[in-house]
Order: sequence, then C-alpha cells, then structure tokens
Amino acid sequence: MLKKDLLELCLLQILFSEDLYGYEILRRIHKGFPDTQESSIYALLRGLCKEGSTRQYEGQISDGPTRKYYQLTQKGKEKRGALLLEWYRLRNALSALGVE
Amino acid sequence: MEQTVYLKKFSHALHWRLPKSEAEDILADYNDLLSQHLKDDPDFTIEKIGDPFQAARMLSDAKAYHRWLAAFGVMAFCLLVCEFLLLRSRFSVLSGAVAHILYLAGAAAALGWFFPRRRENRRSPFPKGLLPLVLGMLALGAAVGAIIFLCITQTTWDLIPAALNGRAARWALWLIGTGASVVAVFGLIQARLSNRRWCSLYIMGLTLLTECVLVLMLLTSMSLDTSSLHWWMPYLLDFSLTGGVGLAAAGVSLC
Repeated sequence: MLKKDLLELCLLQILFSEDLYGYEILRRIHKGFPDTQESSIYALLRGLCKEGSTRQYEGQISDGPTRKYYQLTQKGKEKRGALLLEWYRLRNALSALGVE
Repeated sequence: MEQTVYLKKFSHALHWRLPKSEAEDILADYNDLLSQHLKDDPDFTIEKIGDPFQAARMLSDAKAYHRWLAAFGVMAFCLLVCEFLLLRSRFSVLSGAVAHILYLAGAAAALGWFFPRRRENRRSPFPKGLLPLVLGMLALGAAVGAIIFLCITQTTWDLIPAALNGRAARWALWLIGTGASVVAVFGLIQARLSNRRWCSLYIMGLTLLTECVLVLMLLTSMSLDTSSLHWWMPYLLDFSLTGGVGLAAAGVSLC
C-alpha cells in the first residue's frame, strides 16, 4: 500500500462522514500529513472525482460564499471499503512482524 | 514567489498539459484555495502549495498529454524539415514531393487536432493580435507572389544590379520563410495555451514556408525547359493551389 493509497483512503474517509468543500478537505489532510504538499492532495482529490469516486456540486452555508462541495458516490464507498481492507491487511502483517 | 507570478506559471503549465476547460476549472479552484489560505493565515506563502510545474504534471493525464506531444511533434517536424529544405537550398527530384507531403501533413495535423476542439471554447472571443498577424502573413504571401511574378516576367530586377538578382531573391525567400516559421511556432504554442484559432497562424506560416521552398526550388532548378511560351503555367498552378489550400485551411481554423 503506497502513500498515495493511504491519502486516497483518508480523503474517502473524510467524505464518508460528510460533504466538504475543497479547502476544508485539504486543510484536514494537510494537518495529518504536513510533509505532503497541498498540490499533491488536490491532484488526488481531483483524480477521485475524475474516476467517479466523488462528485462535485455547488453549495452554500448560511450567508457564506458559494463553494464547490465534494460528495462520496457509491463507487467511492466501494473503493473506500477495498482500501480499508488493504489497510487492515497491511497493519496485521506489520503487527505480526512486531512492527508496532 | 508572488501569487500572480505563481498563478501565471501554473496557468501556462496547465494550459500546455490539459484541455482548456479542465485547466480553467483547476485555476478557479486554486484561486479559491489561495484566497482562503490568505484569509486564514496571514503568514501563508505560496511555496507551501507546491511547485507549479510539478502540480500541473500531477494533474494531467499522462496518456492525453503524450497524445498532444505526439501531435505537436508532427506539426513541429513538418515545419522544421521544410525550414531545413529552404535553408539548405540543395534540392533533389524528391524535394518537391517531400515539401508537399510535409505541408499537407502539418496542415492536416493542425486542423485534426484543433478543429474538433472548437466546441470547448466557442464562447471565447476572437483572440487579440491574431488579425494583424494574419494580415501580416498575407502581406508576406503577397511578397512571395511578387518575387514569383518578377522572376517569371523579368529576366533582371531593375532596382538591384543584375549580378545580385539571384542572391537577392534567395535572401528574400530565406528571410520570409524563416519569419513564417517563427510565426508558425508562435501560433502553434498560442493555439494550445490560449485559443485554438491561433492555429490558423501555424497553417499560414507553413503555407508560406512551403511556397518559399517551392519558389526557391524553381529558381535553382537546372533542368528548366523555358523554350515554350507558357512554361511557367504548371508552376504557377502548383503555387496557387498550395496557397489556396493553405488559405482555405486557415479560414476553417478561424471559424
């Protein structure tokens, strides 16, 4: 499992619980992965949207500006499930080797 | 790096690698992200986002980008080989056919690549500066036409010493042809970066360059049979046809 997959899993996980706009997603991911540049995270987010794992829509909160929100699709939910399984397998394999 | 400089570099890199609509969409997202960053964190520096060229590379689809590079390579190759033929000025029996094939291949590649994308930026206005350049190319075309006419109808040019006639014609064709090549490359790059209509400039430049090659080939030919009265008719027909095809293709690409 590459770092790219881990970041994708994180992006899908964030969107699993709620729809968010681009800046907020990047901010949350960047907090967990400070060494990763935002342009890389944005590229992954856009890649997920392009492959149909997420979809975009224009949204607004109270009087705030109109923003582009991202929403998880059925395909995205399936991808999240697959990546999560892979992550568990990797974690178990590492635990079995004594890597804690 | 200043925000405007960053965005300019990023915009160029994106437009070079991605279709226009996609590049514009990403730029809008980036503008939004940057404005929110600056609002939330006054110490925010643009470098934190990442290198603009690397970001554009990550955002582009490698296959689609390689397709564009292949098309660009074909168009640039046609232009470069024609320029080489012109500057080398040593022609064989195949040179004429090679020049015609390259001309048709370059024009077809430009139309084939850019014309189907007319729906992408149908609403975009006619690009500034394109019209004067197109008119300039037409003027250069007229200059080539004048050279052809003078060479055919007059044995010597009155304005320059007779001994320099040939050299003057060659230099005029070299300069016009090379100028046309430079403008054509500029048009090709602009067609990708800003508006597909700029490809008309590439087509006109390639046409003019091919005309220069054909005229120089005629002027340096050692096997001309000028005994008949209208010996020049087939050549004139060839030049007119080449120019006509180029003008038609440029017109189509402007639509």
